[in-house]
Amino acid sequence: MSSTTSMVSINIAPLVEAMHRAKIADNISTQIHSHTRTLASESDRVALTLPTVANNEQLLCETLKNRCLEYTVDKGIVNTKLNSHHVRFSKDENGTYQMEFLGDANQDQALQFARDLNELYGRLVQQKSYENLLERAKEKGLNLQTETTQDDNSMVLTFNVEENI
Amino acid sequence: MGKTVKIRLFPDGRIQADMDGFVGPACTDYAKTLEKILEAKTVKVDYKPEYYKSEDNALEDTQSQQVSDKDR
Repeated sequence: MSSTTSMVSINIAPLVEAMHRAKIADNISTQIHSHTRTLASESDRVALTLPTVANNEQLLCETLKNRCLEYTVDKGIVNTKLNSHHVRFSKDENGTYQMEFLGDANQDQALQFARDLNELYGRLVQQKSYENLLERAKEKGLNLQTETTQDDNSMVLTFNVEENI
Repeated sequence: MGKTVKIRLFPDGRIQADMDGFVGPACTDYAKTLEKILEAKTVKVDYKPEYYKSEDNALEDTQSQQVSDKDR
């Protein structure tokens, strides 16, 4: 009945806090300076720490794999190498991964890597969400009606909900 | 009017869901179902003007119905 129809718009952030993501996007350029620690030549010294939007180990590893980077996982810490430099991913107090560049680190290169990684991770989340919808929506009473891709590469799926839901 | 859910998946991983046709708190309850499907959690809920309008209309309908029942 239209008179009792309620409408709501909900923002859902898969695997990462949206506000935290926005903050990262806005401040990543400045944070590279604020997070810079003393540059050191020792290979085990953290030269640079940058935030990421990742908080899922599996998706983070898949992102690295898609970027043709080999990685290892040890007790929740993901390790990889970028141009022979050791990069370590560990979770912060919010459960979001931060990346630490050990030894010498080129800041421009590190910043570009962080941007690429966050972008790839986001696309992977988008793809994973799409797959989850196609796999699970039907059993929850959602029948796909239309599916379109927008100019900003967002995907819009419209479902009819079965009346007994 | 049937229930519809429009889900927008952004390339940065954000998801926006617009739900239409749900009665009362059913819309926010259904968000839990979406969270399970998407392995996600709701971080923000915005009620559209229609939500508040419909609440008023629902109250009017209820009052009207009560009057009608008395008349029987």
